[in-house]
Amino acid sequence: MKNKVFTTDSGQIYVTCLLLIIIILFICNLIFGSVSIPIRSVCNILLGNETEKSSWSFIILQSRLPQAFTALLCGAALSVSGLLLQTAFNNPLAGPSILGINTGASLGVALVMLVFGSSIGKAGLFSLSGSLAIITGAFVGSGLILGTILFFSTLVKSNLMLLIIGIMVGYITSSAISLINFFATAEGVFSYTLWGMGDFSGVSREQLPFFSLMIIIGLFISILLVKPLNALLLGERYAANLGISIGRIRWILLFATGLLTATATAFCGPISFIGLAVPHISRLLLGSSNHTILLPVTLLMGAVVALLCNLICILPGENGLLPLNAITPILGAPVIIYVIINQKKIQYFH
Amino acid sequence: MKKESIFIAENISIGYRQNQADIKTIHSLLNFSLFKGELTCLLGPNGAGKSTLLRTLSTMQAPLTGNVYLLGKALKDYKEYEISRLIGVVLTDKIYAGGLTVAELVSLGRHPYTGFFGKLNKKDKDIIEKALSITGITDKASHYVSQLSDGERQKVMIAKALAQECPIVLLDEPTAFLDIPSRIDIMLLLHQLAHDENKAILLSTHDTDLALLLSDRLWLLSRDKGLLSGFTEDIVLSGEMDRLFSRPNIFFNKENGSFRPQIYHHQTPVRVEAKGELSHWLKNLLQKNGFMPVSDKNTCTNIHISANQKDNISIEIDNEKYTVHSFEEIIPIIEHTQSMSD
Repeated sequence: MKNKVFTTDSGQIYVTCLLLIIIILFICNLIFGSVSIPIRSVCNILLGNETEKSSWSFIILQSRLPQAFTALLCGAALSVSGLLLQTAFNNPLAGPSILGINTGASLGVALVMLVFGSSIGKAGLFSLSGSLAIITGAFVGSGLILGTILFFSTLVKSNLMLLIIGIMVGYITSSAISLINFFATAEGVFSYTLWGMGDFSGVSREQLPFFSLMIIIGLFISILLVKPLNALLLGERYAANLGISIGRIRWILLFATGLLTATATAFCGPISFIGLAVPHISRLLLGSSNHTILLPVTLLMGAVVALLCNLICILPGENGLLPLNAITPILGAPVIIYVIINQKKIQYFH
Repeated sequence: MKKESIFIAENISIGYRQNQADIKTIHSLLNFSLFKGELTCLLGPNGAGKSTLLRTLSTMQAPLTGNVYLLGKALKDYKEYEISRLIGVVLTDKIYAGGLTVAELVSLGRHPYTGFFGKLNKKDKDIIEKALSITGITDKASHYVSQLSDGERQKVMIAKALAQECPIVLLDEPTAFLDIPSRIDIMLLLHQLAHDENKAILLSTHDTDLALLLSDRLWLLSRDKGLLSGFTEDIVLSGEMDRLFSRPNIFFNKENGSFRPQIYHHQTPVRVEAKGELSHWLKNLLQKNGFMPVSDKNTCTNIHISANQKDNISIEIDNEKYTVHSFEEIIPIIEHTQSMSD
């Protein structure tokens, strides 16, 4: 067949480029921070050699390294979860934050933090059982919202109306969170508010393996869904005729989305726009909706965007950190506006 | 030679089962067979249950009672992946595949055969290439689906069904929303697929003219009279076409195989003497204006029109002669003289 018949052909170049960018950004995330550490020292610390100051070693290994890993995984998780939602709902404007799935996870976290917070205690929150409780809360919360949206999607056929229902459900969930806040202790509210600003430093080195495992399981399931996702581009009935078991695939899709969003949200707060915008950036870059290449590129692009956001957050240097949720909309919202304005020219809208 | 039937339904009833108590039956006791190597058109007014019947045959919903047999085995005993290799569908559903190339969309038809990640081997690629060439869209292979016209999109979906290598292809109104050249294109393509590729093709359509011209067999479905199936020409000549829409103002013209509006008001007989296309359009003009064209010389009438050329038409009314040069002038003359005599 003639060349360029399959959009997957040029995929390898993009994957290689993105991997290189990830490595560069990852190194930048280790080098830059509120305390300036020379590059040579950073290398020495990473190689396990002695350095001038033992505090530098602590900063790199206990703070910057886990934070960079968290950003990488969190970005990948949210972006892939956004892509799954956009394909599952056949709606290019779906995303974990728009459909209120983030907020659902937040509600779960709020319940665990504010209601059970006293019994888990300060030490508990950082322990494995504490983080497990928070993840479970987030997972149940996001699953509940996903189920609600799925239920409404059977009643409402219009994509736009479904988005508005998603936003409404999100508002109701936010109200529930505010009510819980009202009855909670000042200390609980403070930690919840901090968490709500979004932060990739929420995962300690001890929690990192658990966090990574959850995200990697979610990403692995998503990669296994590539074939049914492509079939779903034709709508459910065509997909069913191609031998896809729609009911089962929907449940697996929702499980993967829930796991990825819940884990990312539980540890890093409700991060907006990455899940919505990155699949679009990837489609525009590739010029393809073929998940065989779109899913891996979205995954890597998510890591790139998150590492970049984290880098911007530490720009003030010694003056402290910018909240993550102040950065992601600045990067994400223009992408969505661009996509909406140009939708007549963009292939995947038609 | 007797054609091989691939689908056989025995006393099935179709409809919707909302819950245990609420069952909405649309048709009961339907019997039919679908044959290989034939194009079958399912005709019927809106709401007759065409889509419900197609959904039942494509296993998207189960029959309420009775069984459909596919190659001798009950449809409900097939697994999902087995069905995907036997029945290909083309639906009216909106698709979201604008960001795929034509070749990529057609390759989705290989899903029932490919492995876990849908990787295509040499054989798959050959089949895709063949599907593209049969449907005549090979030169569009690298175009995005979003760049295609509606007719081309429909061809791509047909190519997808071909890549699925199913002996049966079911199509729900494949010519709806298409312009006339695309309609003819699609119907010719389906006719050719049935005959050259020996497929059993069933499509629902409102396009009776094309259906009568190209389909081997007709299925007439109406709400109150159920399903009538038969060989196209046999059905037309049996007069069964009139039953399709049971309305007094529609009648089926067997001579040219089309539905005509029946206009009742005066029905004055007019004798017509003309040949071929002139006769056809003269009758068309008269019927449209409420006259009854007759060619029988013994019918008693005082209006007589003869045309030997399209710009030389003579009209004789009550033994008075007029000659006109266009069809436009005919009716005013008749109506004028009639109003004079009233």
